[in-house]
Amino acid sequence: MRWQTLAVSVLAVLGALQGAQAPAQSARETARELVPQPQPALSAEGPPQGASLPGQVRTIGWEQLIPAGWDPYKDLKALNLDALKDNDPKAEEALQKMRKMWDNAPINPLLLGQTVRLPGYVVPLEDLPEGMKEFLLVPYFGACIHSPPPPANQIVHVVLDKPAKRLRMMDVVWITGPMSATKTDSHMGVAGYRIEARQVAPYTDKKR
Amino acid sequence: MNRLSEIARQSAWNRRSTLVWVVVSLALATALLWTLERLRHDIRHSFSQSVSGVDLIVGARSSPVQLLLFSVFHIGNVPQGMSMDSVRMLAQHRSVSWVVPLSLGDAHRGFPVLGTTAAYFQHFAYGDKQRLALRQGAVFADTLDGLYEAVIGAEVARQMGYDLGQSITLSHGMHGHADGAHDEHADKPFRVVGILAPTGTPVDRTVHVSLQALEALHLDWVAGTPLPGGQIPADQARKFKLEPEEVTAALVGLKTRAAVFNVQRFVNFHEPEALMGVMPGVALGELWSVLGIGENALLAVSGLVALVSIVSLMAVVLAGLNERRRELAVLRAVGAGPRHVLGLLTLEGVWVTCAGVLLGVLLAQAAMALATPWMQQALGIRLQMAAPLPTQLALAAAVLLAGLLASLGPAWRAYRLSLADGLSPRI
Amino acid sequence: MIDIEPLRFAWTRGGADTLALGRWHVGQGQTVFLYGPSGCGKSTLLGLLAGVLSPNQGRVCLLGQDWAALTAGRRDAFRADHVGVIFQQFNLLPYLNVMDNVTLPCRFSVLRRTRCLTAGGPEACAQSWLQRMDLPAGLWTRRADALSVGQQQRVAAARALIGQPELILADEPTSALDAALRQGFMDLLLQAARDAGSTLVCVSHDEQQAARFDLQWSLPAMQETAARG
Repeated sequence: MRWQTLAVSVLAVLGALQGAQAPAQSARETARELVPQPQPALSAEGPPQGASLPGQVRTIGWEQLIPAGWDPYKDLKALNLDALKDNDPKAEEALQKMRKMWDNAPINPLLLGQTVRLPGYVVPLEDLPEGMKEFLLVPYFGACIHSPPPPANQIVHVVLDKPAKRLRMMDVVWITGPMSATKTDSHMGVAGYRIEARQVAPYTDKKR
Repeated sequence: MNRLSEIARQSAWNRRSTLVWVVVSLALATALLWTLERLRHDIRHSFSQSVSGVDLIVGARSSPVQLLLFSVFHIGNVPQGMSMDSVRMLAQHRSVSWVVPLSLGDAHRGFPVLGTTAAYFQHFAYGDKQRLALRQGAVFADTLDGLYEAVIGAEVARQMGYDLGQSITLSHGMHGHADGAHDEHADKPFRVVGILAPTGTPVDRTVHVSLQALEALHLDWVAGTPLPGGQIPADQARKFKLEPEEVTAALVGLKTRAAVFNVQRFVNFHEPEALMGVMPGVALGELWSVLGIGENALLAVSGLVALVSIVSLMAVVLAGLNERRRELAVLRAVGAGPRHVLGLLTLEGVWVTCAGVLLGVLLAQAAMALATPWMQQALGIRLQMAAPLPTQLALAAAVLLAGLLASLGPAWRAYRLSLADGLSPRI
Repeated sequence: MIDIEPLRFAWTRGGADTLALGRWHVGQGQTVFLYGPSGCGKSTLLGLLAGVLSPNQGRVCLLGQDWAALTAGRRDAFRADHVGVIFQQFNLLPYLNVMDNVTLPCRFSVLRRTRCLTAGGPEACAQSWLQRMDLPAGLWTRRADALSVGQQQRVAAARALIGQPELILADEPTSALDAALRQGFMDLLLQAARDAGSTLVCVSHDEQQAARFDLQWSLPAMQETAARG
């Protein structure tokens, strides 16, 4: 049982890493699936990681939130899953290690300060009568219900200056705003992403 | 058209003994729609601003909505509590900034009693991260000396006329009967030391005491009833261990909001106890979808009622047309054309619908005014009826429009009749 | 003033003719008594004269205007301006008071309202006609259905005359009145029509009233003449 969970988790995030190769889907189809899948239209295009003209809004995908060189799957890839028996402690160990790396996933400092445009699913935090003011943006559907939580660098804490009236949980949206890092205790945990979004728009397949 | 409108009004008034029933049914339909829309809005408004800045609510594993409703709104119940050990362990998680335990189960004259720590008043927020503020007095001391101290919400103070220093007794059980004497902890009265400023949330109708005080109350109680002959007097209670073993739930705030998934997972997989962590925003979303189904059903029914009233308007006017053929002939004789006849009957229908809608709005406002104290008391929802909502006005306008359209039917028939009859109606 | 070319009228298409008349002319200010047994088509003729009904053949002209040449809306306006009508009974709107009932035509006809302005406006005009019809001022604010039949008929006459329309049509105006009142009513009506200079066409089966009118015509006789000629 354990290594089935392992396989699903790996699929999930490997998929995020290799977004460009997945088949094209509409936002609706994506929303209906429970198996986490990325939106391939979100793949990297334009300047490579880190480069951007000041003042320009850059459309990015979730894979750009992962800094170069961070690979929590080193150990997993090294394992030969076919050769393992069921309930092999090595598989469990690798899983735990991977989870730990997820929890401590670093942010990509090159993105900080840039104005980005990123699509994702909404997980509400603060919902007021006037609308939603704060939410978490995650890369796949059902991030708070079924699957293990995404790595720390695949969650964005979004704060809106103007509350958004019609947002519901698991809505798919584009958010636009400057990327910054959340403050955190220096000796505990890692920083996360934060965007003070100027604009929230429903997700469509078109670029703009 | 105002001369026609005047004639229409007097004509309708002349037949008021039959039309009044149509007016009443229109009034009821409008009242339903008006009230429903206000309730929808105010319930959502109340609920969605009742808790803020809380990342997780942790309790025994049951239904997330149930836990949210009980811990924040003090409505309903949860099947089981959580152990204080789990609370302490939570507080030690590296991502957790603060934990506030909550204990519910007692009441004072129908107002729920919340046992908690002094930290509640520092960390709990509502609306847009608004902290609780004291209008008078101070928070309970959370020490053994100030054991029987209570902080009450604004609504409790207002309704019961309490002031600082007031002595109150609590009774066992949430759905307290106001005078259930055998349920009362009469030997351990509390003193009001603080009154909170109004918040428009369930906090207003809650009595807050320390966890230790609740423990002291129940020292000599077992399974909900006092031990016969085993009474422990109030001042002696301090000699016993007053740290609770069990609480109802715990509010948790994190250092980084994005860490909520990890902490939630940590709680859900916590081995010693079956717990769950609920994100308030997510649970509210679930609550909305459940409520939404009910709301839509009620709206559909109200719409049907309005339709029935409109149809009855048509029926009554059509039925009365035969008797009015002479009247229509008179009008034609003085120079009104068939178009005037059409206009006249349509305006009559509009007058009747207007009267019905206005009456309905008045009825609805009156009914809600009467129900406001109960809603505040029982559900912590404040009805704001001063200014009508745009959606309420839209619904009223829709009924008016429907009445107008429905009047066109009989008006057209009258038009045809007056054309056919000419100057000599066949009666 | 009123001109009729040879006309035919039937209530149903292809049915027997209710009316068949030859040429007919009435001058301005004349009073016409039209009589015949019940069902010979008197009310139908009134309908044709008022432009409410249209003949299958032939023309009806009032003041030189052929009714059929006007659109429906124009016909209503023309009627409002130039024709006053009195029925046998139920002439008034029961829920309006006497004054409101009398001024009704002025609400629908600008021409008649303008004519009243010289007398001081529709209200003043109404008052003078009501006085002429022997109705005391105390009744003027009463609801129309609070009056006796005789009083109602006189109010109806005042209403037909206000604003001095050129043509007054009266369909059995005295039939619902007691015998004693009929003479009095007719007197008032005839005098008022003469004062206003209006043409009066009065239909009745009570031939006793005929003598005071300028012209007396029997409708069956008119139809026979047309049939022969």
